[in-house]
Amino acid sequence: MQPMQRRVASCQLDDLLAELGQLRQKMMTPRPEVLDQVHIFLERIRRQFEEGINCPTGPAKLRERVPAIRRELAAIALLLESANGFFEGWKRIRACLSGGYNGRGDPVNLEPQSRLCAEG
Amino acid sequence: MPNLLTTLLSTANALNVFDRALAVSQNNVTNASTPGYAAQRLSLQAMDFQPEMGLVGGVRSGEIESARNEYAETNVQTQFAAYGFYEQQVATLEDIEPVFDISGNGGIPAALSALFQSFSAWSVAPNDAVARQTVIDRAQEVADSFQQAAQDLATASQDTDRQIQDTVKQINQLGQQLLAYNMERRRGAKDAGLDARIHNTLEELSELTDFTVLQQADGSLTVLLGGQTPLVVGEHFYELGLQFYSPSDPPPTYPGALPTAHLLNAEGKEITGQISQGKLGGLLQVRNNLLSSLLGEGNQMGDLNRLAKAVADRINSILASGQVSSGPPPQPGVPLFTYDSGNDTTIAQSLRLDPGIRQDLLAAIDPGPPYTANGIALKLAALATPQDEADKLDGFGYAEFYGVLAARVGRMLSNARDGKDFKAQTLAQARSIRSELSGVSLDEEAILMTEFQRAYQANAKVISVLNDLMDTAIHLID
Repeated sequence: MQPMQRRVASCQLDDLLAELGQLRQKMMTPRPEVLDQVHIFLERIRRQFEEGINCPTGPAKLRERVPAIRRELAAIALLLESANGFFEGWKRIRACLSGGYNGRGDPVNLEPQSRLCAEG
Repeated sequence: MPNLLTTLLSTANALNVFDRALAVSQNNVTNASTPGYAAQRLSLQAMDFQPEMGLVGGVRSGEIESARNEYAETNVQTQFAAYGFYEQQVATLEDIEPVFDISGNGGIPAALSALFQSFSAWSVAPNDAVARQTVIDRAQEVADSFQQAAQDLATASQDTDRQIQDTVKQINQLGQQLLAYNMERRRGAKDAGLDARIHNTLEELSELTDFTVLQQADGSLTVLLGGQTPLVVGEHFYELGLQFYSPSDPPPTYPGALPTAHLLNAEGKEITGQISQGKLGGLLQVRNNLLSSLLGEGNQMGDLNRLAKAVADRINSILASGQVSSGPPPQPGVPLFTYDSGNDTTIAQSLRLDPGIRQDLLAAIDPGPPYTANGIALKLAALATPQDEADKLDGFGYAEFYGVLAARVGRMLSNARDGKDFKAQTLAQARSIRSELSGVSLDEEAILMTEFQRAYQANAKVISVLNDLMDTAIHLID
């Protein structure tokens, strides 16, 4: 395994933590645009971790921040999960309301019909 | 062909409709922060417009529709029940945790450590009266610390019992309120205010317990505790009951143990297992699982009692195997501790020094073979770092076993704190989603009010013009 490069400034950890906190706040109102932002942001964090997190003030600072970062990520994951649970449930209910149930008692999956739209 | 009068009537009717729509919007704004309130909308319907047939069109008001999303409401209730569970556990466990001092400066671990040290000092000078008296004094401290811990836990248990009683009482009060709302609904009341009060009451109930709510065709609600036990059905209220007892099936191994808490439905049947969320779920778990595991109940002795018994029995048996003097005749050792052997679930509470013990009766001599003048004192000192399985409880030394008990409480509290933090966030999210779907948006209301006001003013202007025209017409006739 390639050793982690140490080239990111120490403040990056604090910035990361602050950004995660903002993201968590945004997840309180999980609109589609927020979910898109979450995805983009999480991808960026993943890249940062792959490239390496450095802490010039020493590993102690890094160790100090890691539990907080883990906690923020866990909270975001939970909020994503609960938002997903809500909208999945809501989707099922809407499917039942509009399409009823199939023979197995599952909601009928109404696939939107393909449409062709021509504009002059 | 419409005449001036029909136009006037149509416009006046439109004014009434817009007036109503404005009132609905105004009511939304007024109740923007009212708990349980969902935005209302007046549906507008265009009237037939066929001038040649005398139908002059216009607008009429339809039903007032609620934006409430029951699925979002259920989501909030579910999250609130989970939050209530952890919130209550944190509050209750924070009272219990101090009983388990793991700093080593006080309580049972400090007393045990001091006793083992006194054994060690005694083994160095087995005939020294001061060292012997120190053993007696430290043993007294061990007995006191067990009694204190048992007493503190018993007090925590009583507090929990009281809180369970209060919570059950609150659930029944909220059930009575819902019953009253059901009666109102069955009498035909369908206003937004009643709807808000019902949903606010359901939300309050969700903090206390988990339940399922079903809306019937007549508008009344069926509330089932734990999804199974009726609390309110139509115009019937089923009181939730609470009793403390040791179940008789299977027969209790420890009949004199602390009774456990049991929820009963209106018919007196046990439903405790159905409630797993809300404050009541949190209280029941602490009371019937954690406190029972420490203090004992009908089918378990309780780990604090097991520890007290193990410490007392082991020290007593080591002392009894020794001799106070080698004689002749040799004088056998006497026990250091005693406890109420009639009730295994009160051993920690009843642990005390044997009334017959004195420093000169402590047996230091191990008759062997080989004979060792301080052999018993050495065996007792070895309890601090036990190697022999007989000196252990469930594979742990006594101090370690105490650490396991403390860790059990600490882990539960830590989980509850994490759960509370996380559930507070998912609850806030659920409320936010609900607000998006059915709450009052002040921006939206402001736009709507402006639209209705414009329409209102336009129609008022038409009426004014029509009035003028009619005046002119009347003057012409005159």
